[in-house]
Amino acid sequence: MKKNPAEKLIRERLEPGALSVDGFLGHDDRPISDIIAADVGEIEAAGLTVEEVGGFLEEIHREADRSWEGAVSMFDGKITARSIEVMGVIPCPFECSAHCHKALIEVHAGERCIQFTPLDAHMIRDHGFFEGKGSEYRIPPKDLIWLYRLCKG
Amino acid sequence: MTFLIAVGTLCTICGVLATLLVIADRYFNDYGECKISINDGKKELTVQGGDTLLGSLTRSALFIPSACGGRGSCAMCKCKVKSGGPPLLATEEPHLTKEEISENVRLSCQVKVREDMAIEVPEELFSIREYVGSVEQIIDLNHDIKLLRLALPAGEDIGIVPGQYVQLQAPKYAKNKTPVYRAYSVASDPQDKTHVDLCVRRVPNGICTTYVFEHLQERQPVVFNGPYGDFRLTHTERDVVFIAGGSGMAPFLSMLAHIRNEGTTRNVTYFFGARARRDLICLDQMAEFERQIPTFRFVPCLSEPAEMDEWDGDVGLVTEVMKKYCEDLTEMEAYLCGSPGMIDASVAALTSRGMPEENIFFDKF
Repeated sequence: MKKNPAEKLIRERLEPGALSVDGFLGHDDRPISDIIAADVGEIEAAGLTVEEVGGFLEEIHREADRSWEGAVSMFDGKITARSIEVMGVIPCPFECSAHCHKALIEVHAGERCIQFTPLDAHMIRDHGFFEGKGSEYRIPPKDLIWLYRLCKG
Repeated sequence: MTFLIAVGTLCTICGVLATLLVIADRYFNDYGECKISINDGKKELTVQGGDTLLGSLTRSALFIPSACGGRGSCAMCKCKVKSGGPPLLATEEPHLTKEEISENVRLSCQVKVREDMAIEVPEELFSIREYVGSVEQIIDLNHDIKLLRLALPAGEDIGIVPGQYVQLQAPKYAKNKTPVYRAYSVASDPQDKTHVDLCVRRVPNGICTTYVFEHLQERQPVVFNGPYGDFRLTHTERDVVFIAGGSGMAPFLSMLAHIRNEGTTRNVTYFFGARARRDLICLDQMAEFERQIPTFRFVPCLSEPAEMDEWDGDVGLVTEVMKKYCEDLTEMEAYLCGSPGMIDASVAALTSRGMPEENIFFDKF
């Protein structure tokens, strides 16, 4: 399938070395639009929207960020979250003018641990992009659906 | 034979076309010399046209902050174009507000210099310079923070005011295709004119920190520019609270050295928040500052000390520990270094103890 110029430019910005060392695509060579369609489809099949699940991650980050890297208990103790913050911002690869703070948020729910960055939360909420398969900080939609339902009911 | 003649002819045609393209490019894209007038004639540059505004200014030793190597993604290189310059590009629009567009603010990495121009930049940029230093020492401060001690070129004095930062370049390496710059607060003693110390915390997948942690060696050259920023100590006699954790300690290392050098008698209390003992840094240095500055107290606090830490210091979030120590902050001032959430939580804690907001200064991550 021929890539349109916009998709080509976005793909370049998602690749290793553009905005981060390993990029955001992992070993996924599907067109960006296909990656997004598949993941968004999985979220919508569960009766949710990317705005809801992305916004949920942003809510976790906002709360964790205030605690100076201490663990924060949220949603009646169902999860604890911690945000490791460093100086600097990273622009959104989708050229939407968003600049997200650099941080790594760890969410512990029982035995499970999910990690994400503020950029991930933004890309999910605003662009339906969960990162490509094999990418270190990809949150598979089914994991995010599980976490969302655990916390929000 | 016919095939060979055909191939040869095709190659010849391609060669001629390529030559014509090069000649056309040099002829049509030769914009000659262009004048750039900065801040209503305060500085005038003559540059060769055709390059980006950012590139032209950099080559003329005027450094506009930029983190992305001129790729139009960081949006740090904004400046006002008062005259000259092409129309707004689609690559710029997402990074500019409506107000900025109406005021002709542009991304200097996207604007091509093709004619005389007049631009406006912050005055402090006139004192920014770029340096090629060398790595004198790389010291592990803890499991994810390194101290880089950079030696300045002989005879150079960067003129750091405690609290300022520089932009360190990560060159092309491994997967990184273009040099990029990242900001780091200066941690060194401002009286030491021959070195710049930086605290670098590892960012997962970060281009610059991966370079520092996995590739950079002592005695290698490094490029950095600065100094930037207006986060600095006031000249009042008010007692002071510092709040920072992790690599946020950097500007306070420089400020404490300055306080020691000046012999000021302000009471200074530094609340350093970390998760466990392994996350603490510079304990020896803080103890030394306590010896050298009679009015300085360092209060490290751990939010989740491990059993093996055998920690008998303060436990809890740094903002809660601060409130435990400080009842009335009405006549004091505070300096904070951390993420927006950390700053907001600290401001709330400080104002709950009576500190006026105008007495709170911060260097937001």
